[in-house]
Amino acid sequence: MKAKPLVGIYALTSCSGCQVTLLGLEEKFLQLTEITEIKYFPLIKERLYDGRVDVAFIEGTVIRKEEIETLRDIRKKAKILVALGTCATFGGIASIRDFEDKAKVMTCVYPNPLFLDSVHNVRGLDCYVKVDYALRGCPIVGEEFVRFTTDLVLGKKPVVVEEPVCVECRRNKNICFLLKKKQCLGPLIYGGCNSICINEGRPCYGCRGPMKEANLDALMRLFKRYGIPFSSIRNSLTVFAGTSKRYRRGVLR
Amino acid sequence: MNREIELDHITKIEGHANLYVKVTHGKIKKVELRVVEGARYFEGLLLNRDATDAHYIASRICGVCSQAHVVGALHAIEKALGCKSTPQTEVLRELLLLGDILESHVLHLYFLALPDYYAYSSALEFANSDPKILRAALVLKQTFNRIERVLGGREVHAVTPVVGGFSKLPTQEEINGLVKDLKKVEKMVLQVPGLIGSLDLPKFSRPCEHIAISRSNGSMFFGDEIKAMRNGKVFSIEEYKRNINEYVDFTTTSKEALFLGQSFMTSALSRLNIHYAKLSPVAKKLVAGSKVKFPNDSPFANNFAQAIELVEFYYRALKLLEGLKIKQEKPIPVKPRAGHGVSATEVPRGILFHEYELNKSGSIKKCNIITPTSQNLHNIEEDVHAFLPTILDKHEAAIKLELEKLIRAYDPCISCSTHFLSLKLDRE
Repeated sequence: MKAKPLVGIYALTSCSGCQVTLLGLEEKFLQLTEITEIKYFPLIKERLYDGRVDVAFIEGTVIRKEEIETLRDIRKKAKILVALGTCATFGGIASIRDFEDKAKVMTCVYPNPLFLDSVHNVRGLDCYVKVDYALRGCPIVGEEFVRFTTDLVLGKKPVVVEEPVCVECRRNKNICFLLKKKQCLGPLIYGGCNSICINEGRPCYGCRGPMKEANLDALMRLFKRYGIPFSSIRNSLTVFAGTSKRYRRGVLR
Repeated sequence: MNREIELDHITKIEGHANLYVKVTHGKIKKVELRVVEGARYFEGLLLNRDATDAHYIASRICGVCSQAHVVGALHAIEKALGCKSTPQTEVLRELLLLGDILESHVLHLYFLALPDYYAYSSALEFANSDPKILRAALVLKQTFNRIERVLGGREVHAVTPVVGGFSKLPTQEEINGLVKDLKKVEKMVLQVPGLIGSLDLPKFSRPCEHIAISRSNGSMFFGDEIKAMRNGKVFSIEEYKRNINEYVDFTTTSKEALFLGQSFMTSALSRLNIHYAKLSPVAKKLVAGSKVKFPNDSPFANNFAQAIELVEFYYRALKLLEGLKIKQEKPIPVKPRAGHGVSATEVPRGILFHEYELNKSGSIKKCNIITPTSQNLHNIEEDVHAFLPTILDKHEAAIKLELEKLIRAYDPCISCSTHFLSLKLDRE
């Protein structure tokens, strides 16, 4: 990649938490602004630039239909498109509604024209355009962003963690929730978060989404043996990445 | 003269919003602040979920004020479950909230508002012209972030707060470390009101109603009564719905709200307008030495009010941290039960309401969340209405900048205001 790649930080419907995490990098973020040129970042910058970028980071996902056009437009302008966070990768928290009663949603929809403007299912960006990389997490892990961007600038192929949360969790010497017969999604989920929730005394909620090799059935059997009710399992599977195909079998009965 | 002014996707605010103004024969015919963020239906997402998960999901309403939603949801849920948390938990929650407010104020003042007054595209331009300002912003943000990180596990979408307490407590060393960190930035904090107070603000004021929490249990941030400044009315938070009416405007995805049929403001400015007399001597002295006086009718004074709060809350956080002797305690266990709970919390942008109704298995049957920004939207429109005639003779670009300054002064948080569920739920 050339000396100073042009970067755009875009947002569709989201909470801005991933962008706030970027700003929370403080000094490191300033250093990133020295090795890249941030052309577009409306959270903190006027929108004076409308041209091409080398890397587009997009937080959030499509909720309003018009956002599909915005997304396609960004795709056209960007050499590399990176989904920033869980919403952009899988649909995230807003996809919970896809598992609620659709008929009920429709009766709410009719009298309000705004609802008609919403997409039917909340999905990740890859449902609409080609996504080159995904930085997972709700919110993203700042250090991972720094590593990723630095790799891109250096012309290296960025390495994304392909191990489940459990690997990092063991390394951090936490006591396993599953051994305590408690519900934890660690074995299914992409690591890279340094098992932050378990370090802080809470089970994994799966915000980084299920791994390719995730053995959902085995974990479901284990939960069943522990006497954890299905409603509780369903709730935790649908918080963040319910629309992921890898979860579907577990969630939809 | 007929003209239309459109501000498309206003920058340097949280989320996506447009402003549309129509002027016919020099008269303002229409002012619409259109929120174009997609509706994520948070109150719908929370339905049927376990009460103990509410704060975790509600946190995702907003990444700027996530701790505020966490604390607000926990208080309301605990009321519904009949769980009384320990004094230590309450102190830690207040500190988490203080970290959030302090950090959010720094973000707003330095990164979102200040560039307007220097004609910069972004605060990053200070790196060349005035690196001291950028340095102060980053150091302050970092320090206040650390409060959130130590208490909540991370600065956005905290991990440790749970119903009944904390899943993990900070160590005494970490608390002592925070005290040390805070003490290092005292001088920097005290300089903020001077910087913000020296800005050449547009001369505009419009008297409007202000509301703030007036009586509270222990902390000034967690209230049980709310006061209206002009009207003088004081009401219990349980009656919030009777006083603050939310309605759906079909031009935006956000709900708007009225206080007894009038537009109103809830913000740092509202808090100072109502509680000015209770400020610490240090903060009062800083106000006395500035051109801004409280009570104040100019929405632009909200920037200065945030700067004063930065000082006031900085000392509050320091005092709480210095008084903390961490006792190891586990979260209070809760049993599922039917119940109802309302909370009101003073958060960076004003009062945040959370209300939950639980069924007997402890899952959420109904909920309602009113954020400060949705309460303020109507007032912003009325301010634009009153402010625009005073600047109408300027160039288009200048008018737009002035209008943006006005909107940014409110520090609107658009993600927060676009979470409403359904018309069906409203009618219930």
